Amino acid sequence: MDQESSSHHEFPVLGKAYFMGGRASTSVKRVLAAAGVEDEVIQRVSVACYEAEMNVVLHARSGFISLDILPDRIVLEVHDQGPGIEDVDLAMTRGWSSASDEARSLGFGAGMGLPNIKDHADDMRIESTPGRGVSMVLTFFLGDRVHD
Amino acid sequence: MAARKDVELTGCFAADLMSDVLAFARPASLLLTGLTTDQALRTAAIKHLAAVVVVEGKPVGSDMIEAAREEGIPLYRTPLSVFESCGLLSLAGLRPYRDCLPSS
Repeated sequence: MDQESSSHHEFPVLGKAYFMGGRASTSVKRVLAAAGVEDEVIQRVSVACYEAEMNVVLHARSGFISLDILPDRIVLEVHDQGPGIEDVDLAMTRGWSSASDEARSLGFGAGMGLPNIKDHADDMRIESTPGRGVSMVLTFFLGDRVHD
Repeated sequence: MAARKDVELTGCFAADLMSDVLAFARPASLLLTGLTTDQALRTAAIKHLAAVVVVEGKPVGSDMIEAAREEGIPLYRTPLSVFESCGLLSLAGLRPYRDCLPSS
């Protein structure tokens, strides 16, 4: 990709709009492909993005995803307004889930979401205020991989 | 059920949990699932899977067909169970990700 160019994109995500779940991530994937980002990175960003998007759809009232394509990295931010996460460390545990039956009926809520996000990003920052919402900042490095 | 096209399969992954697909499925795999929402197609597209097969002859709604068209992922349905499907695919020569089958 053109190393000099940077771009910023935003995608709204509606809570409880189950039928929309995954559309923002599909858009993110298309934007990355159009920007000429390498496939391996697109794959990691879109998996993390999809899990994060489904978290918003399943748990929050509303949210948005912002995507910054920078010369050396991709930064994906996911912010939502909703119940937040009481105990982030606990939520990072594989298999731990607070999802509804509705979420499970969509094939999510198996307690793999946050661990999947962490596995696919080079850096993951997550903050939550219970009763307010969740903010996540994910970084994916381009070029020489730091991720293993 | 979506447009017919030839696809080369490198493997197969069977799951109803899309997080498991996101975590463990490999590109160009066939996805066998009992999930009949468009999430199965969105997940398949994100992971570059080759095609999606709905098992147990479950009804496939127009949402799912529309998602298959949008994502360009072939969508099929079989009356067989996951286990039966996996058995037949294995007999037909589709290999698991890990070399876990006894040599014949």
